[in-house]
Amino acid sequence: MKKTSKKENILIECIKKILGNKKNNKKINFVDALDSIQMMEFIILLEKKNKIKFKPEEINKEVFSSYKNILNLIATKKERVGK
Amino acid sequence: MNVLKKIVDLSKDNKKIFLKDENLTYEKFYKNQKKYYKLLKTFMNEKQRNIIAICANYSPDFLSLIFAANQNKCIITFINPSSTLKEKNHIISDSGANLIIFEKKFCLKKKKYLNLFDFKVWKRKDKNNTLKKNDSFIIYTSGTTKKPKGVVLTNEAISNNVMSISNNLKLNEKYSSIIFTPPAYAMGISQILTYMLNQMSIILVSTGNKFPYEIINSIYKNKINLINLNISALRIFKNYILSKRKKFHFVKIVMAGGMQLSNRDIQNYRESFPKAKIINFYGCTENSPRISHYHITKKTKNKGTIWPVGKALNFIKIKIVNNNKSKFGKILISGKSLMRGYNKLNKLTNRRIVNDWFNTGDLGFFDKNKNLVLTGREDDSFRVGQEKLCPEEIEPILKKKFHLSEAIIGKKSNKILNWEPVLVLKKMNRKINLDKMKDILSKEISNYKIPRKILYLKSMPKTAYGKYDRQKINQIINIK
Repeated sequence: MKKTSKKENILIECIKKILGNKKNNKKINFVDALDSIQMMEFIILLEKKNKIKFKPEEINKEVFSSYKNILNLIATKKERVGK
Repeated sequence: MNVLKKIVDLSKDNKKIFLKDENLTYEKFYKNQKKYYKLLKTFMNEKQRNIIAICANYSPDFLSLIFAANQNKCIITFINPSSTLKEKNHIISDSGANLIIFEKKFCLKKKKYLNLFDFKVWKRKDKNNTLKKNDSFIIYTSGTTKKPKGVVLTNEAISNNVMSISNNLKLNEKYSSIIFTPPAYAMGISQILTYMLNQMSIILVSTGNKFPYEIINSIYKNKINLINLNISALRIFKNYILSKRKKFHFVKIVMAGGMQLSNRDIQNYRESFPKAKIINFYGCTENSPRISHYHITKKTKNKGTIWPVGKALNFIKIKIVNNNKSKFGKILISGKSLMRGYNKLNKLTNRRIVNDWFNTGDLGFFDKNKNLVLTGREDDSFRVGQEKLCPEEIEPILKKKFHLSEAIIGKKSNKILNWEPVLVLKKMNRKINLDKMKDILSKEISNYKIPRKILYLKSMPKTAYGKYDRQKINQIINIK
């Protein structure tokens, strides 16, 4: 539980950095909300803060269409790093 | 000639695949635009020239809508879905649009909408427009006017430009391309019309270049042989291209314009697209938008550090003007692709177009082979990726929002985007929180215009005339 909450905090921090304060982070569709420069900056920030590296194919419409999908991808990557 | 009408005529009974990933033929496109033509007519005000503002991403219906509007003699303007509410409202009121057509998810709140198939239409009253009979598009671009300015293009201008590009590249139906330039840009509409006029197969990417791997995959899967890929996009795509571990031997033409290209940049293009001819092009929205092409083959060599942008396309003239005998000077253009003027900005139009010659604001010279070489800008605007940023548009907003007496936007070099904006302030008792500033500005201006950093200086460098010395300020930014 504690680990998930830390990941979520990092994600919220990254969203805040890129998009400013949003009322409901969980409802953001990042595909529409970010322009191409913001998307690039968002990915770089997520990688830096989580100390992970996305594979090119992981950066796709499905993942970035929801908060939950991004969080799941980060969690999977963190697990792999842990192993 | 009206290329939009010609494209519609060519599409009738044409069974060639138009949109590759949708498996849609030109014939189906023809029928679809007819369907839109009929329904759109019912929304129109018969007593005035109708102006349509479209806020949508690429889709087959988006294309049908553009052609249906043109066939209905409407003037078309585009609203970038990622622009702020203020920017959207500015475009709607400045263009005088009476029909605002949204893709459902981009609808503005608290408006009454009618249905136009999958789109939503907001009808509003506005008779306050100064547009003329032949005007067909208004394209909004960043400018020194503090707000985005509308460039009015006629059917004739855009048609001449599209035909010049087609002739210069010797395009035909065997070519195929992928479009991810935002639809709100002159470059986006120019690509669509050029490729459709040549009955090429196209792939439309509704998400722009947000997901490079998907674009690279699509290029590979569909063996796309003509790509419009500026250097900033190539830098973003480079990692993704490398991850494919294959080179794109099937690509025949790469359009690489928009920014100055160095020898290293050309090497990068050649590595990724070994068999392609690289076209270094130069353009501006005011010229519908292409001005010149420079064809770079495997054998083409360059003695300088910056590659030329070539010679003027058909119907276009270029001249260099200066006050001394130097070969360097202001770049002026003239010809049949030039805009009619800026929307509702007669003074600015008259200042920029004198005796039919338009001052591009770019600086350059002709090399010994009479190819144009760009050296910089006359004003302080700069490129952030493919976007043009004018400091004069942002500085007043910063001063007002944060109660500043002085605020200068400078540029810091960026490996991918070429430049990123930096806010330069004189040291003061309080400090501005960068995140809070981003938050406030994100409601006012598009993301690429928002400063990424704040720099405090003991004193602001000024010229002998008392103006801010932007060159020196930029030097300081890049040292710090």
